Amino acid sequence: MNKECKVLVIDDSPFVFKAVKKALEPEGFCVVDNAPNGQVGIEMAQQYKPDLITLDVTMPVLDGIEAAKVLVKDFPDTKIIMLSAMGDDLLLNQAKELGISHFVSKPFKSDELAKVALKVLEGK
Amino acid sequence: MNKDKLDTVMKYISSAFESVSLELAESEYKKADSLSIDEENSVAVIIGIAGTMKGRIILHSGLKTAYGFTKIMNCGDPLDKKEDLFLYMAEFANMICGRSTTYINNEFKERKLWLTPPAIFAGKNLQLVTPTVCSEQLFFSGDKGKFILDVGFEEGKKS
Amino acid sequence: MTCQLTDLKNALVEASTEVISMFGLSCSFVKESEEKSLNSGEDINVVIGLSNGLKGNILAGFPKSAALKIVSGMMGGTELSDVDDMVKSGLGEFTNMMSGNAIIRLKSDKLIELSPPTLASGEDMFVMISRAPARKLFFKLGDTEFNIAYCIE
Repeated sequence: MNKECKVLVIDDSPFVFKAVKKALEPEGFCVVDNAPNGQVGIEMAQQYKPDLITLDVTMPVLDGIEAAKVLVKDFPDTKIIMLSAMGDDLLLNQAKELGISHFVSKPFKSDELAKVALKVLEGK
Repeated sequence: MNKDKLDTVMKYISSAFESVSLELAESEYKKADSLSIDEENSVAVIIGIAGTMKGRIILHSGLKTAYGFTKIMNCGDPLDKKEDLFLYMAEFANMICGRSTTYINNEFKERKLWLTPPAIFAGKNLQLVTPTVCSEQLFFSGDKGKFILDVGFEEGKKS
Repeated sequence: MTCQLTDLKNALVEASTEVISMFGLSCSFVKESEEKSLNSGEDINVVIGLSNGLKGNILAGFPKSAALKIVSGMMGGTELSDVDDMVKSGLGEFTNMMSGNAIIRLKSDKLIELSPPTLASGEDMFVMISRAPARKLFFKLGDTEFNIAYCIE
């Protein structure tokens, strides 16, 4: 990474926010904020213009799939990693159809998420 | 639900608990034949299951065990608020159920099971009952405490 | 989402009133309040989860007096004095009927699935049914009362 990469966490679990910070901050990422649902996530994406978003699927108010439809369209330069406890093929296919090709199952190891984040930013 | 199907489901749920708890807390939990929650105060997370099998999973532990486990989830820091205990335990239960249903849904190649959001109860002498289900319990014991997974499905429904 | 919450609220109010009346009782809706995400529990609490077409939870809370009154009505006026297994089973059935009745009133493209009702009782109880704040409906039932908390994710 040449510049400090801004990461927005969109997840209703404070545990996941902490886990993402733990995984990515040592790699030089700057985790800017945590949105508790998809609707606030879209607002925060507008505010922070993050380089990377980690996006939960099951959230109140607006879930990850619905939020992804907006985020992919309105923030085309922002990379998205979908995080979920459910990782069945149906969900993976739904994510792929939205243009999200990176998916990490919860719980994740710090180095696993860091590896995926670096890969995503390199455009792989 | 026939016995073979139930055995498969229980196997996946047990496997999910063991792998998730190991990944979250780096602590190994061994299956036990039976145990009881020997703390007066306990916490239980209920996640409903709907779809081709209708039922629920209850994750139950003593309150001290829950605080200890969620402290590890929180990178060794004690939780700031009581509410966070509920949120962390809900997340733990969600991950177990999510992983189990992933195994099951992938086996059947379509989304057969849906999970409801978790409902969490904590209190003294907590009693939980789901009158319409037949349930089996999975017991786990580790150096961080004991957990019971109570898995129940309605009988005679679509399978 | 706001539209769905209002729809669910109205459906729960109508369903509760209708189902209660089937047992020769009458209840009236008193008020709705917004709940914090963490709340105290009642003597008996019955939770039913929603999934597929609508994700959320319905939590019915009963003081002992309301629990006995409702199940007594379900059993044709039989006098009941303890919240035993039969009363718990009756409460579960009542909550199931009420939730099912409410869901049918909602217009949804996808089937809304209900999980079986689970009853929770204990002392000094705390309950969380949603990571977002829930809403609670209060009903008067003669000289007693009950409530229904609900949330949509």
